Amino acid sequence: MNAQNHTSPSADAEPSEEELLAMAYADGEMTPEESLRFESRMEAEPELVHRVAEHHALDVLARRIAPREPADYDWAALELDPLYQGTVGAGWFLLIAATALSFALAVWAVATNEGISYLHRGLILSSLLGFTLLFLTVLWRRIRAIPLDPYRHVER
Amino acid sequence: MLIVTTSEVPGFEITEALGLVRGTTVRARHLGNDIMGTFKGLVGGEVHEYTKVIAEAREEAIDRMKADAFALGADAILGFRFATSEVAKNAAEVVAYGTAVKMVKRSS
Repeated sequence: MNAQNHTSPSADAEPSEEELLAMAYADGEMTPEESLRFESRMEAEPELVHRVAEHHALDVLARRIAPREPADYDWAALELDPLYQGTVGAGWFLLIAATALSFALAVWAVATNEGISYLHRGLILSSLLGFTLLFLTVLWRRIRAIPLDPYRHVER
Repeated sequence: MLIVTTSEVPGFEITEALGLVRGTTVRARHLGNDIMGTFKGLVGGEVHEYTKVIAEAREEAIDRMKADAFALGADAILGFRFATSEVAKNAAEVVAYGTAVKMVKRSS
């Protein structure tokens, strides 16, 4: 598969065979046997998964096109306001920084507390480490899946 | 694919009922949206963060139901309905369901 196939085709370009197959799969126009064959190819060719996701996203967007409401313009204008951006940005920065620092301090307090046995310290720190690992795993999985999630564009 | 809430489609004759088709999803917003949504809930007005998660779940449930119907070779889904429930806090569960049918255009 060449580099040109990795970009979306322009309006006047001839769709490639992969494009047509992805469109047919996304639109549910394949027979069950064709779908199974295409799904086998997707397992080996991640690019096909992204093509199907792109077509699926277009389909979802086409169904969701709706005129904006007055409140939408108001929110859009507010979100561009430097004061709004500043207060929201500062609020998030303080919240995230304080939370991360609190977590680090809690770990440090447990790790250096001589009043707690090594066994208890190990258990508490292990549970915190397990929690962190699980959270990071789920977060990483979500970040990887975001480009394939067409519904994130749906507003209302 | 035609999806209607009625039990018949004017101008078409139902030739075969293929059975129940449904699509289910549970979606959640991230913690940041939850925090902002909670604050918006305090001051009133539309909580866009939650409107969005419900809309996302609705569209995903419809697509899964359509995929179910495509697999059966259906022409349309009649008696379409939504159902919602709460399986987890701050998550939206939506079930879309209906009856998949095959139909043909009436000649006269």
